[in-house]
Amino acid sequence: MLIILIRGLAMAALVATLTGCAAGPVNPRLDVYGPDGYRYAKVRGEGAEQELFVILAFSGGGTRAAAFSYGLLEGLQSITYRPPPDAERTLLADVDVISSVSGGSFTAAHYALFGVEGFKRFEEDFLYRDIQGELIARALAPWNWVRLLRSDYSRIDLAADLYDEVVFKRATFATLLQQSRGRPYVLLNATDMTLGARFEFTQDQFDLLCSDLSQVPVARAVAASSAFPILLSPLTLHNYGADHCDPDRFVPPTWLKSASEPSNPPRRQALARNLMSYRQDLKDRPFVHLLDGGLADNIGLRGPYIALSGQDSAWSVYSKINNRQIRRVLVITANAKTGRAPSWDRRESPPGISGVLGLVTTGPMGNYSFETVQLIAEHFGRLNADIETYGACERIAKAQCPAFSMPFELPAPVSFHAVELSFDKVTDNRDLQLCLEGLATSFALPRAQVTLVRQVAQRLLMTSPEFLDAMRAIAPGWQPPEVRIDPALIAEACSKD
Amino acid sequence: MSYVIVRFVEPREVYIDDQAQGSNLAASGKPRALFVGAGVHTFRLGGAADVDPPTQKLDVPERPILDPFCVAFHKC
Repeated sequence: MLIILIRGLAMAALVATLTGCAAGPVNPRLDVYGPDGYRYAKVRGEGAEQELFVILAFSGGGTRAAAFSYGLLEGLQSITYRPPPDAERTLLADVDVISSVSGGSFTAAHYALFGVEGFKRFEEDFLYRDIQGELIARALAPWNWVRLLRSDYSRIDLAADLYDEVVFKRATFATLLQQSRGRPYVLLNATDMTLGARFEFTQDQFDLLCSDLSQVPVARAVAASSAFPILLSPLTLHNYGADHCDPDRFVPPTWLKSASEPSNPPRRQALARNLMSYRQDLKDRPFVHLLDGGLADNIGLRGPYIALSGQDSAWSVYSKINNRQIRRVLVITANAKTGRAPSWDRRESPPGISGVLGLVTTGPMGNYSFETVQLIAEHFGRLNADIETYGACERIAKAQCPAFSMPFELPAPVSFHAVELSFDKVTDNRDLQLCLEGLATSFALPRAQVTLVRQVAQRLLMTSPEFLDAMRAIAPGWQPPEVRIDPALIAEACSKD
Repeated sequence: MSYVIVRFVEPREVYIDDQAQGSNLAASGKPRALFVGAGVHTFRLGGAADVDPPTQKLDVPERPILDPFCVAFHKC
C-alpha cells in the first residue's frame, strides 16, 4: 500500500513538473499595434449590414440560458424573406452582432464558430450534455489535484480546458475570425473584478492590454464569461502594457480621448476612465482578473447600448445611420431570468440560507438587467418619437403652407425595434411560466427541459408583438408560423418527480 | 443623445472623432442632421485642406431633433 502511495506521489510530482513546464500565459503579448485581429470591421466588412442591422443579446443562466438563446437562433433560422433586390435568405443570416454573457456565451461563440451547420453538434456537445458532471469529475480526478495545486492553474483553467476540448474544438480567436464570413461579430462579455465593469473579448479591448487576442482560445473567453463566483475561480490575464509594450506606440481611438474629457456626461466619462485604466495605471494593473460577465451586465446589452447611443464604439450604429448604411435596427434579447420563489410568502418562517444566498447573488443582477432592457426600450422609444416628430412637423407645416420644406434633412428614415424574450412573457399558461421561472441554473439540465426551453424561445419570438411589428417593416406580408409546444413535453419537463 | 448639423459651403465628408459620418449636405443641398451622442467630440471635414478651423473639439449638448446643434466651418 505504501509503495502504491509513493508511486502515486512520484507520478503526481512528475505530472506537476511536466504540466508546469507546459503552462504559458493565457493571453500572449501583442507584437505590433495594427488594424488586424478580431474587430467588427474585420468580421462584418463593408456593406454587410444591408439596411437591416440586427443585434442579439444572450443573457446568463447556465444551460437554461444557452438553450433559450439557441431556441432564438432556431427561430430566426426558420424565418425566410426576400429583401429586394436580393435573393431569399433567413433572418438569422442578417444578424450582425451577438453580445452574450455566461451561459449565453456558449451559444454565441459556437454559432459564430460553426454556423448553422454546427447546430446539431452544439446540441450534442453542450446543450444535452452533463457538462457540470464532467467538470466535477475532472476536478475530482487525482491527476488534476496536482495541477490545481499550481499557482498558475485553477478551477477556471480546468473548465476552460474542458470547453476547449469538447465544445469549441481548440478554436482560437484567429479561428473565429477565419470562420467569420457571413457570421455575426460576437462580444463575449466577462467582468473585470477591480472595475466591476464589462470586459469584452475583442482586439479593441486587448489593444489596451497590449495583448494579442488571436491566439487566445475561444473557450477561455467563454470560461471567463461564465466564471460564476466561488464555484469557479477568476480568469487572470496579463496586462503587458506594464512591462513589455511601448505606451507611446499605442494610440487610443479618438472617441476614447474625447470621452476622457471631464465635461462629458458621467456615464461616458466612466466608460473612458475604466478603459484608460488599463493604460494609465500600468504599475498597479499588470494583471486583470475576470469573473462571470453577469456581474457587470447579466443581459449582454450594455455593450450594444454604447454602440446604439453614440460614436463611442468601433461599430457605432449612429455612424452607420449617418452613413445611410442601415434603415432598421432590431435588437432581440433572450433573457433567461428566473423568478422569485412564490412559496416564501406563504409561510411565516423566513427563507433559509440557500434562498437568501440565491437572492443576494442573483437579485441585483436581475434588477440591473430589467433596467438595462428598459434603457434600450426607452432609447428606441425616444429615437422613434424624434423621427416621428420630424415627419409630423413637416406634414403640419406643409398643410398650412404647401411650399414649406424642412430646413434640414435626416440621414434616412430609420426605425428602431426592441424585442425581449423572457419567461414572464409566457402569459397564457401560468403553470408553464412558473415551471420555466423555476428551472435550475446549472450546466446540466434534463433533456426535456432543454427541449422545452428551446421551443418556448421560438414560440415567444413568433408571438412577440414587438417582433411582429418589426417584421411588418422588414418583410411585409410575412406570416409567423404557429409554434406548438407538446403538452406531454411540458408535463415531462415540469414534473416534480 | 443629440442631433448635429455641420455647416460648410459645399458637400464634404464629416468626421466625428475620426469616424466617417457621411456628407454634411443631402442631395437636395440642405444640411443633414446627424445622430450624435452627447459629450465632447472632435469634428473635422474631409477633402481639401481649405477648411477653417481644421478641427473643432466641442461639447455637444443634448438637443431635440427640431433644434440641432450647429457646427460651422468656413472655407479659407
